Amino acid sequence: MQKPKLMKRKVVIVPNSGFRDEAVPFSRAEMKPVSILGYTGKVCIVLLMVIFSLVQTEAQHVLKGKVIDEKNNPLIGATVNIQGTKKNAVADNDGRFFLDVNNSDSVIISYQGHFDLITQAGASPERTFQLKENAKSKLDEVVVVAYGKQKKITVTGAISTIAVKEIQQFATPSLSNAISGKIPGIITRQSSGMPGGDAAQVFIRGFATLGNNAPLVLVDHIERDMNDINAQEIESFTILKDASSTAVYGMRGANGVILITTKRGTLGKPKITFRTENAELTALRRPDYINGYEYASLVNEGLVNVGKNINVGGFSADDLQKYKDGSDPFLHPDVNWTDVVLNRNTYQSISNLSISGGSNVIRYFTNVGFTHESGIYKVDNLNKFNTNADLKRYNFRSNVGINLSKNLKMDLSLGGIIHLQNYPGNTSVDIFTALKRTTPIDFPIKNPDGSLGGNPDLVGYHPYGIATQSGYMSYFRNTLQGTFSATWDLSDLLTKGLSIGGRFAYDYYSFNQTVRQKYFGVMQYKGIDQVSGNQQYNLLREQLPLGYANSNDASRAIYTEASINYNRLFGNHNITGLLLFNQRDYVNLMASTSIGNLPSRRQGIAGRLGYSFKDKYLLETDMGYNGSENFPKGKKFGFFPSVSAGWVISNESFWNVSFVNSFKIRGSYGQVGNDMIGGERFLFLTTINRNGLSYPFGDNQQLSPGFDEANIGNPSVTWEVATKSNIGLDLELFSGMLRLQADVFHEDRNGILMKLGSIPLITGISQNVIPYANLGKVKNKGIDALLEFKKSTASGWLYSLRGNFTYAKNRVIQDNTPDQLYAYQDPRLQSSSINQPFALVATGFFKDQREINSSPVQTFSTNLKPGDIKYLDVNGDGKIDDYDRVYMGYSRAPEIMYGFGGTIAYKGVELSIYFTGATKTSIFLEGPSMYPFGSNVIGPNNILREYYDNRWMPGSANARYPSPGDSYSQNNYRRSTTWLKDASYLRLRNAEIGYNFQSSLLNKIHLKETRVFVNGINLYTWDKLKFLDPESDDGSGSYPIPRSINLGLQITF
Amino acid sequence: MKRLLIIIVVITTLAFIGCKKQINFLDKTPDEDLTLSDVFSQYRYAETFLTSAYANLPREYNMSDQSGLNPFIAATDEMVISYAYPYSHNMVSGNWGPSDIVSNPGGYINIWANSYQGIRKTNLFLENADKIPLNAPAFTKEQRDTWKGEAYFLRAFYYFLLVRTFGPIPIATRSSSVADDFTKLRRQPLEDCINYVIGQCDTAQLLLPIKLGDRSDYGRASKAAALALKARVLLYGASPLWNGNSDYTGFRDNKGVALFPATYDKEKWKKAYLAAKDCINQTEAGGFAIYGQYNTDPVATRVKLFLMNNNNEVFFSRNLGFSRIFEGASSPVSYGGNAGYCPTQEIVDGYQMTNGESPITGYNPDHSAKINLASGYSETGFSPTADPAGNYPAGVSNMYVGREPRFYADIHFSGSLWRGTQMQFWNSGKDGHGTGSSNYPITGYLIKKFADPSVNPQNLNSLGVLKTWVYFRLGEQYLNYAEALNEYEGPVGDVYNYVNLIRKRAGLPDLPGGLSQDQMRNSIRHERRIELAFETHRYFDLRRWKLAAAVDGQDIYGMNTLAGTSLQDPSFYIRKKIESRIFSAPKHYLWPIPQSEIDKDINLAQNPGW
Repeated sequence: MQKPKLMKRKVVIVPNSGFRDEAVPFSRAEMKPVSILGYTGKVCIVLLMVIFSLVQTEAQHVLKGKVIDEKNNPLIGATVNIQGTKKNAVADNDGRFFLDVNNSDSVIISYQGHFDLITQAGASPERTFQLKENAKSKLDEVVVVAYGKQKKITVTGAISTIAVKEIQQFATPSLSNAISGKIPGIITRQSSGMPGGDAAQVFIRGFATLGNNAPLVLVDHIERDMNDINAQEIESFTILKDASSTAVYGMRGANGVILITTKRGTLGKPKITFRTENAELTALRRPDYINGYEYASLVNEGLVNVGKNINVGGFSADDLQKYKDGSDPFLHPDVNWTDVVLNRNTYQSISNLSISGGSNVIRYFTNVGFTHESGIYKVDNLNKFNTNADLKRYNFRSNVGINLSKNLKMDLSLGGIIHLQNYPGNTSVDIFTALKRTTPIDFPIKNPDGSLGGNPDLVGYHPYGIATQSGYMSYFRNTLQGTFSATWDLSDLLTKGLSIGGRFAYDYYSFNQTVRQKYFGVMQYKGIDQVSGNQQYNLLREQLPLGYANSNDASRAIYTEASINYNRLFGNHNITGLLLFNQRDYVNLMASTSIGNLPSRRQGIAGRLGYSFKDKYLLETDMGYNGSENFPKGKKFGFFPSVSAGWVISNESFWNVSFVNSFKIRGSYGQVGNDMIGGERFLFLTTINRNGLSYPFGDNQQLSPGFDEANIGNPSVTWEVATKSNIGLDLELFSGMLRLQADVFHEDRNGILMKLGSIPLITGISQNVIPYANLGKVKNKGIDALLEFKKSTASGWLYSLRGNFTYAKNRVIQDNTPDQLYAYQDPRLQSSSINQPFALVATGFFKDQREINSSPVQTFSTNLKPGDIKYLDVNGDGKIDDYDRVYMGYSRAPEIMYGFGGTIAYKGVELSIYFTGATKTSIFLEGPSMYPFGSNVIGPNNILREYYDNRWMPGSANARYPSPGDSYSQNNYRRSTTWLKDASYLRLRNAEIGYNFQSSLLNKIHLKETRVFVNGINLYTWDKLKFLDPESDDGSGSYPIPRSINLGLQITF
Repeated sequence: MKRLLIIIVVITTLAFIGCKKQINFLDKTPDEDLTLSDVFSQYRYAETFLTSAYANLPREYNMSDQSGLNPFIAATDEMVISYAYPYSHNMVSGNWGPSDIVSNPGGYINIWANSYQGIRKTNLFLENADKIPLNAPAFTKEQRDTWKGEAYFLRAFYYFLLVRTFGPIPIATRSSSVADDFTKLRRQPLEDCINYVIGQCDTAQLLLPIKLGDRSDYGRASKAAALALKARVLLYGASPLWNGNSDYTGFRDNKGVALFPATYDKEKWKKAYLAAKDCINQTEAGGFAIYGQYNTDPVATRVKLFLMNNNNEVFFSRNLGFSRIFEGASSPVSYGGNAGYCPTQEIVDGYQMTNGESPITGYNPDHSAKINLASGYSETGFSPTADPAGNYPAGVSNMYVGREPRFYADIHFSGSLWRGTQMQFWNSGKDGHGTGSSNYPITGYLIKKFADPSVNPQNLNSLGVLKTWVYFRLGEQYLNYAEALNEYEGPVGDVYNYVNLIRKRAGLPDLPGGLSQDQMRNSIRHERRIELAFETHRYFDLRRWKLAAAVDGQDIYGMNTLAGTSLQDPSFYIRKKIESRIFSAPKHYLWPIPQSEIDKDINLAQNPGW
């Protein structure tokens, strides 16, 4: 066995490179390593060639060749070149090709992922060529980078990718959920499972700005929504993390970039793939509230706690008994509203049909997909309309490539995404708020006469009424994406390696919302009249018929791009260059203000210059020069440069560590910008609000319009600048069995655009008028890494293991808040991170009145009781107030995310399993149902069992929450460590078992491939919360995220 | 040749896309959108700027949520609000502080920000008003001066709203620029604040007509408003809280500047009574008068005083447009209301009998009333007959019989009639606690004052009626004058005259003669309490008299609304404690300066006790 590193070095010895200038267009295939023969073998070939050419006379004939792989499958699209000539052929669907050859010609047969075969044509008219798979072809993989592709070995920036297969194992309508924990450098959090609203937040390398942290998402190099894309349409998924890989995006790139490309057709007969998968979704951790008896007892307990008589506002023993035994279900109801409103299980179905193929002239890929996810709300079968949440999505994509000539290629891509969404007449927030507010004993679901129950304080809060009797809302969203692009290879016309390209994209989005809401009727049942024997009711609200409202939204975006590309090898020196001009014009067609309707425009130039020597020393410089109309004249354009370098040490001649196939270190440094300023336009202008507060003058009080300041302009407002450095290494060991990629990064984000925080209210400048300025500073640093292990055995076993890790820790350096009286409250002095909780430190609960009296005064409330939260007097001034708050815990978005898993395959059976986890993240469990009382609601809230089981009671040693009182507690219901919990988790994120049917069997029924699989998502979670999903928003729960068990079938014809 | 041609085509195309057409691609900015200087280049635009300065006037009739900026009525002994959320609950229970008055999500009251926003608008208007080009006859110099006068008055009034709440405050005489050093904004000594308000009033009154002539101007400030504000702020400044208050003598800012006058200055009372008298004289000469005839139905007169918008007694009011909010909050559930605004037993006990005697003289330890036998008041039994004047039907408790006319104009009580049916506040009544609603009159009373009987709260489609909230009226000035004069000169004739004018309109006999200064003081304070009930005076009066610690720290009582099965069930007519109230002196005499403001401007001293 040859040393792998030597095999690779043969590439440059292939004697064709010297002839390239003559005619053969530059092609990547030629860059591939030639391998079957060793170093000496190659020398022999050269010698033989020389000998043959001298000795043999020309003897031309047609070579009928067939190219196969090691398993004797035809290699469709393999290219056959006669060395030193332009003559070439491409293998057809059976792997066959015809080529006029001379016996002495050297033919080079290439196929991606395989070693090139160089052999003499010989005299035989029919030959079969078997190509060997190149196990370490990863080195020659190309990765998608900004505005193009690049050979992986020459990449000097920080880029990570995810195998599309891994995304596809995760059946979800929202792509953002499928990448969670699977790519180094990404932090995600999915807080809701609502159909149409379940997308996870995605951040690249955590948070680096106090403003908008969303990464730039590009689908086929155009700004588009990641969550509209169907997983089956994707060809590659790449994230760009450092300055070098994102500088070309200039003021758009600082938050990192997600690049998604969709599939293209490949040479060959039409390949039809049908994939369908159907899942049962189970809502995880639905809210668990206490029952009626427990609830009523808790009300009494609260009254006793504050020294009140339970005869007033409390429940008698008789009441309690009735709640317990359910003997009086109408006047003493005990309703589990969660069960009344929410189902446990629902379903999801995703089907896709794609056709792809191509010839030398045309390549095509077409996919139609249908996604259907249904919600967990219960429905009333008497309704003539559906009230459940429901998402139907139709995806259509057609990518057609045409080779107009050998040098001119065109691409026409069309995508259509139609969303049909349905929801109850109230939002999920309304429904979950109703669950948090309405207690099990407030009223029965239905009164004896069938009407919805109610009491005067909770009219409109009936959870079942809100979910099923409030009408419905339907959304229609329509996205059209069209891209036309062309590249023209000017190698023949001008100079070798030069090409130009252009791209034009037009996207149109429209949204239509129909709201058919209604008031449901509410009756209060008051028992049976003693005298008449009739049921008594109090009509609290009349039912109203379905209303009608309709609203629309639409936008369009036009993108234009022109580029010049250069890529040429001069001996050992490879030069690449890119100069690109682009502009984008986005209009919100339905904007409510004239300013909102003005086009949002961006324009810029991107450039790249790369140099590599023998794939050993790599140097690249990238720059973006671009601008936005949103900034003042003279501040519109910014220049964002970066440099990066790499050293492939393993390609050095002194490198002789045999088990290390590839070892590269790389580093980058540069600047990128962020111009996302929260949708605000023209912050440099001082403007007047023509719809300011009006006033009714005159005895008939006619409203007179009021003009008011709308915005105080800041003439120097501009983008934020990120200065990023990155050092990374790429390592491949044991012939590619083990692969490690690791990056350390550091970022300084300066000039974060924020509202001046130093302007007091005394100025009379109201919050919405206060100007923005580039004031904030944040540092962000961390590491991300990937480790992969892959092994196949001779007996047919295949193992793989992989893991990744991301850690991003930010620090607020300047946030434009006023100086704090106490250093421990200053976010800058405390090095606190963005959105880090700021709260009181609870030291426990007051045991008794004596402890209250002997403790520092807690100023929030004057009547403390035993069981109330006792706070730490941080500044020791003898009283507890807001000055005792400190920074603590972690932000809601985790600082560390990781994932690991593996695959075992043997003879068609494939088992894979993947875990993801997050840590260094905190959640506040707060608000109604964690707090027994709300601040601006009448009466108490519903109570989560979590609170009930862990509340303070006299003598309780392990209480986690304060004791209940009889009203909103200013002392207890504020942010403190009592409510702040560690939201770390480890999930069995997904697992899949699949079976590929044997191809011999399939051939009989004209199928190429058939695979059945079962996979599961969110199968188990280890965490500290137990009752609420650890990815939830702060609060006390919302639409739960699902576990899914998904059964699928994929057939290829 | 072919190659060259292609090169030329390519380069030209790129150049075309890259430059020519796109050179101005990013220069698109808003078209003709107004800037501040545009506003003052046309009088019509300038007028709208002044209009928005009016819009910050608080809607004090909304006493339960922040839009009214009026937590005061329910935070003193006049009222309890039965809803849980109003900020007044935080205040009376002591659960409030510098951090939550501007940002507490539980129900904040942002008087600070609202007033300063109004001040900024008036500052900007006054700084630019002279730039408004005249355009006679549509826009004359006189009109411009009137607008300036209005802006001066509004600026004075917003500062007054701040001073009465926070005490000494920073005075911004010009609009701040965002580049200013805000730490230079310091609290000004109280006397400077008061003088500033007076100065603004003096400037305004020179520019304004005494009374608005044009009906379409109703709601705008007039000279009468400026005179009334000046008189009120001088009265406040002469009062014990502000005038040589020993609690505040040591209160200094971080430069050592004393923010309150250290010594009592009796002459302030003189300035106060002169200003009140000047206001009375000038307004009466200008066409203002006490509303209603002295010899007609005093109940109806009082009701109409607050329902007849812009009547002759009103100097300045907040126009509220069509509204039914107050009617909703002050009607019981059976009327479609929310039974929110519940007068206390304390104020009910404060209304006198028709003979001018107080019904009770105080309370026993069990909080039963010490009845003033001379008054003819009784707490037992029920009236067998209806009131001939129609103020109550037969069968109501004797507690509500023979009370002064203002009682029947101001208060709904159990058994009283409203819109044709009877109020049933007892437990099992249609409006009572037994309905299961927490919207029941928690004290056994609801406010009748200000509520328009023509508004049907049950009709959700109704817009309500055009309403106004009266900030200044002549009746108040009579009492201001009497109070200040009594403090300065003792109970001289004019003191009697003006108090008796108020009593006479209310259908009450004159004050007895020969009162001492102290007795007169108590009589005037009583008269203010009843005459100006629920008009946002009591809270501030108790504080400036330094009586709040004694009064607003007491428990609040009402009827026993958790009991009662019928109108004549005596178990209902028992005084029950509604809530305990907390008042820490001197802390609660003034509101705290918002913490966020102190954070941004370290030179803002916090008020004592906070």
